[in-house]
Amino acid sequence: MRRRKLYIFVEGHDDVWFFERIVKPHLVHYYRRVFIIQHARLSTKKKYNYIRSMHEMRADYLFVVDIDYFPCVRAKKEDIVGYLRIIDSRAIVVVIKEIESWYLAGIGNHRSRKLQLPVLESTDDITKEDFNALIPPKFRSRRDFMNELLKHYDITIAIQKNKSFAYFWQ
Amino acid sequence: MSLKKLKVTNFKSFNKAEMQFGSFNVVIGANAAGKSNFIQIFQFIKEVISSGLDNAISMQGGINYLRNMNIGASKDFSVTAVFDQEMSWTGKVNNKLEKIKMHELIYEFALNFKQKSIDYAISKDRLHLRCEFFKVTKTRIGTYNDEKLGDGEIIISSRQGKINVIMHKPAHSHLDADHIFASFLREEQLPPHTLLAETSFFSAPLIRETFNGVSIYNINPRLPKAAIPITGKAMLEEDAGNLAIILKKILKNSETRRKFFNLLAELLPFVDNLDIEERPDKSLFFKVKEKYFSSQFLPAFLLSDGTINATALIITLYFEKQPITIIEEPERNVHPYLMSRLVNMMKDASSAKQIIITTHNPEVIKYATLEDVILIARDKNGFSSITRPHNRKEIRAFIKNEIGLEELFVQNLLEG
Repeated sequence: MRRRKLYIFVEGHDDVWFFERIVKPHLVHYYRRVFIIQHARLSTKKKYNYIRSMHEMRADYLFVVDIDYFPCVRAKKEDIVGYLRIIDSRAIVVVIKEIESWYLAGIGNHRSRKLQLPVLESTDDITKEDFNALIPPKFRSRRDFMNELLKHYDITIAIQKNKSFAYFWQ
Repeated sequence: MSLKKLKVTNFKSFNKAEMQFGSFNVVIGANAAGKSNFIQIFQFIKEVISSGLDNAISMQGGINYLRNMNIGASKDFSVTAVFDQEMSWTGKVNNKLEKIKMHELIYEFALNFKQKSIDYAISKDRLHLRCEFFKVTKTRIGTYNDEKLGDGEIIISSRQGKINVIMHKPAHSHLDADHIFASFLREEQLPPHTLLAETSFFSAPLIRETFNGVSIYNINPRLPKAAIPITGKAMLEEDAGNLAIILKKILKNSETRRKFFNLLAELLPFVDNLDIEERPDKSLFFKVKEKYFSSQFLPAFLLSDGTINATALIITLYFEKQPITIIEEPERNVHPYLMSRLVNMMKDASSAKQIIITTHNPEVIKYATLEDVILIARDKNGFSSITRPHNRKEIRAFIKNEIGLEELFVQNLLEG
């Protein structure tokens, strides 16, 4: 019986939606419940209190962050452990560069052409700004476009196109 | 009187659910979780009592909408309500007085559905009264003394319309069912599709009184803005449409007027006065004088929805007599700053009557205590489930680490 619960901390709304639609449906086979917590607006003390609660209740957790301006994953992890001393560094998942790169990673070449997107071999360097610039004119709403990407998402393709997603998934 | 427990099966979004209640209950849940369906359980039973089972089912949209669409006819619809209800009856047996004090009333009924048909049959209909039995003796000085003989119960049930009364009593009691219920009444045959709750049979007043003690409010602030005829119910209607009539009654009496303005000042401190105006066409509307305008009253149609909502809430909490009050989203149109006062008021009122509210407003949840909260959520099969978050160790861990209940609700972490 799946007894453990998993809490996934993600940064903002776009991350919540990605994890809800793509990641959670896979994880529910391994956990009794999977919860997603938005941490972008939480104070450090609040994040600390959340993680301490999870240690006390013996729940698993993942702490997903963007790499931002850090040169490598290790530096980002060290930064987080520096201000959130309670966190288990193995639970930190670093997205390179931002969640938008994971959104685009799951789109195959054929679907890219159908969506009037450029065919990208890798989405590792895609930033939020790049993503916004790539939104085809027929999508007047960014949310509509993101939902369209998730509708056609292929995890095996995402693993090939984005290293940080592949590392997380595998 | 208070509602202790409610159980329901195969009703709208519920497969099987059971909930226990305290004096103040905050039913929370996301949109479409089943909060309104929970209220519908009470609406349905009240409708059965006032209009009969067939009409009550019709008011729910028919059998197909009464029961869960996925479960359909494969399982009975059933409802069980357990009330703390005190009532006593004294009778003479062999020239000796005996008393029965009822302390718990359980009413349950179930409907069995026919496959591929909208027909149904009553598969269970039972009123269960838990009682204490006493011998009553007259003292030297003329007062009466109750000597407890023991606990017992009276079970009144109907099976295919035939009524049966069973009395389990302590050994020393000489009472039997004949002393309480005339035998000719017990020989009555109920027509098909008729529950004990809706008959003129002796059990009906008990059930009726109990369920009529439950008042349900879903305040619509637009309705009291219009003038209404002076003729209308003396009880606040579910949507508060007759608010002006109720206010007129409250303001007429100096004591209720004093109490009303004391409470109103807490929620609406800018209100200097409130009055009712009767028009020549025999209609009523209420008007409010704000502190900012020294002489002029504002008619109801110019008042804010929040002002009307708060006024109606005070009446539901403190002036309506029913011992159980259910309010759907009482915080509607109320400023967040006033939320703590509103919740405190509901807690205060719950010392005199049982209060059950539904909400999905985190500000209300913030000021409620964990023990008051009942969570309704959809499970993976789409059924509404009911839990008390305070029973769960992970929720207690979050609260201990200063993560508020309202934050757990907003982050959707309350579900089990």
